[in-house]
Amino acid sequence: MGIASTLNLASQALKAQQAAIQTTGHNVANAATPGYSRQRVALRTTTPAFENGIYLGRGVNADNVRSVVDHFAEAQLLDIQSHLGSLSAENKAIGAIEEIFPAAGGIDTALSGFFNTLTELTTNPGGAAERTAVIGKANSLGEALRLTRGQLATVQLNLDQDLQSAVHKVNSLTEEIAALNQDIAFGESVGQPANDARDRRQVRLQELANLTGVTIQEQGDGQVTVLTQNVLLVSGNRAANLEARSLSSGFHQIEVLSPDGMRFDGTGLFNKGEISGLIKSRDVSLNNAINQLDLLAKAVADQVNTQHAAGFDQTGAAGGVFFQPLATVTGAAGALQVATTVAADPKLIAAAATAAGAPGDNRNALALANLNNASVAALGSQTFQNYFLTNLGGVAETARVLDGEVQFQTTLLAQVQARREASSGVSIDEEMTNLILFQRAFEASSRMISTASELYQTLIEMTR
Amino acid sequence: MRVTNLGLTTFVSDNLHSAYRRVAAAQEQVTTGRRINRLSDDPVGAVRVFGLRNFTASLDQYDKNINKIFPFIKQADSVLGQAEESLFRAKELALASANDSQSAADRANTAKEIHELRQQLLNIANTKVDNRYIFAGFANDAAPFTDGGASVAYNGDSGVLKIPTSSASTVELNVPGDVIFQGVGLTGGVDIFDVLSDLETALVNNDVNGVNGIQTQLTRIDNGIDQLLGVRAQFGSRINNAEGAQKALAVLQEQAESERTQIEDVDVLQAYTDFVRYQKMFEAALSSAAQVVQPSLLDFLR
Repeated sequence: MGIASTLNLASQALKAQQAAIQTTGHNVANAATPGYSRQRVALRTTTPAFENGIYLGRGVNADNVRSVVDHFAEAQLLDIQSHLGSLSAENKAIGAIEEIFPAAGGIDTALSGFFNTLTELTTNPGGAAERTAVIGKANSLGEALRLTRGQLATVQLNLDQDLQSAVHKVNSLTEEIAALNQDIAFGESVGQPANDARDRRQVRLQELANLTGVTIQEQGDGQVTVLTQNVLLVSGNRAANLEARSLSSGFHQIEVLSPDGMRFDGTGLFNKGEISGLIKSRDVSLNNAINQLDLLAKAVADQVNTQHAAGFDQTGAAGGVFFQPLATVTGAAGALQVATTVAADPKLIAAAATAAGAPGDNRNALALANLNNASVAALGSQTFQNYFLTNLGGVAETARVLDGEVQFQTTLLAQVQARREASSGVSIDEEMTNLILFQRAFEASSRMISTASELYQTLIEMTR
Repeated sequence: MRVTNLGLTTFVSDNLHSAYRRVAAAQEQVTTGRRINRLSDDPVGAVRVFGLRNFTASLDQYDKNINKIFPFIKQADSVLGQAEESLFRAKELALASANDSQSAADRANTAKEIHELRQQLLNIANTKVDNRYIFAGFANDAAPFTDGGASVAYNGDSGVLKIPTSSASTVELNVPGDVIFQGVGLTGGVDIFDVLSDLETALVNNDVNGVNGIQTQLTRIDNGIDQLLGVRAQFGSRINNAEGAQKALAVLQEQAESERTQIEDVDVLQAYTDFVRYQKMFEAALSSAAQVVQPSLLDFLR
């Protein structure tokens, strides 16, 4: 043991402090990087030398660089993201439905407008103006239904497009995760943690969780296997490939080409994350809203036509159809319109109850107007108006509940993110304090070298 | 708990966001004056407001209907008033003719005037309003009464127009002409046209006290006047009913409006107070944020 050993100790210490300063710099540089976990150099005393009956310390070693990770918070974040993803997608869709049924003027107003003109017709069943007004309002009702249905269908189409782009995002994320898996396995094969690659992979996993929800299994070599509802998305360095395949309906299903080579329709298997929210909104919420409109339109056409046929028009002939008859429920809301014969000749509106009473009889007009207050079996024994309003109330209630849930999950996300930041985030003040410490230690260690050099000098001069 | 820079920044900006959202929501309530700006703000209330809006629209329609009833009934009533006048005149003439001082020639002259009165009544019975014969029942596109010489034929029908004045009630608009002028279906009803032509015949025949004499016709004229009075009373009570219905509609309107206001409108004072409070909170959040984000150890290391 000699001066050389002291010199060696000092140079080791310089290296260790230099590493610590470098890491501090890395931390400060990434203070604002999302998903970054602060890193710490693990400093360890080297094995002491046993000399002359005593253990003599031999300085410090920089063992490795580790990030400070709160695994529990990270796992929670993945879970919250998967909820938030599906809820946000559903909320967006239901919000659109809510906006389409405008708060001022809409189908309900068109309905009451139509039946009000029929009521007016009862005061003057032979009046041309009254008859024309009935046709005008009937067409407005058809227009309101058609417009609303069209807008709902557009939202449905937009959701399908969102689904396709979500599928593309999933593909690029799984590929990135697979590539990072490979980097991590390679990097850690030398026994050192691949901190930065792990941070990046965690960020990607969060994004993926938001899209599909994920279950993660970490392997011994640091790679993660990623599943969603038993669908294998990433296995080692291989990623699944999702494909949006168009169906005859014009919408898309998700075909999965799994990393193990299996190919199957996975549409029903995604029940978390944005993708599940989009599928659910497209296939359930929007379908329901459209179907309810169709049912309403069909019921209006059927009820009015049946009552209309029971009456007699102004010429004394038996009443024909008032609305163009609708064969099927599907598409009814887009097709409700006044029959062309009636539209061309308002005299054909059957206001009379008997052929003889034709010019002045208002009894069938009264019966038609009263349909507005009649409960309709096809609509669950509700009136037209109530059926529409009940469904509207349902949409509004769902929107309110989803709004609350999204807010709750967002708050939760912020809290857990704060917890993650509390352990993994970079505090600049803390780094600065550390920097001063490492800098002083570095200065002192370099002082050790000059001291050792002086010791050599002394020895050399001694022998002169 | 460690407080880190990114954590603090996120925390501060999240808080600023939510404070600002509250300000925006309060501001929306103040400017629109409505508590419900989206259906989901209050689903139950919003649907109720929709229902009330449509209910109000139907009330408006019923009100409009009733307003159409008034002129029709008033017109019919005033026309029947004229008919009554004609009958009174016929009664006067008959009374005068029943007097022994009248000669056969006088009575023959009076017979001509009675003939005119009958013609006048026929015109009244064929009155048109708005291009509709008002005493024809449903068959209102053709003159309901045609003179067959000895008697008058009714070509109308017994249709009665019922006008809805609420979702559950109706007011009858017309009375068929055969009921009014010919007493069809009325106990002790008389055919006014027949009475007048019988009177004319009695005058021409100079028959005062015979079976079909002037005296007999006098009683029948009285019956005819009563018949017209009865119908006019019916019209009067219909106007009363319609007025009552209109008042009821106004009350319903008012109730619906006040319920809608209660559900939909904001308490302006409360909304404005909220707005000011949230704004102050937001300002406080901003100024504290500016102070907390700023300082760092770096400021003190020299």
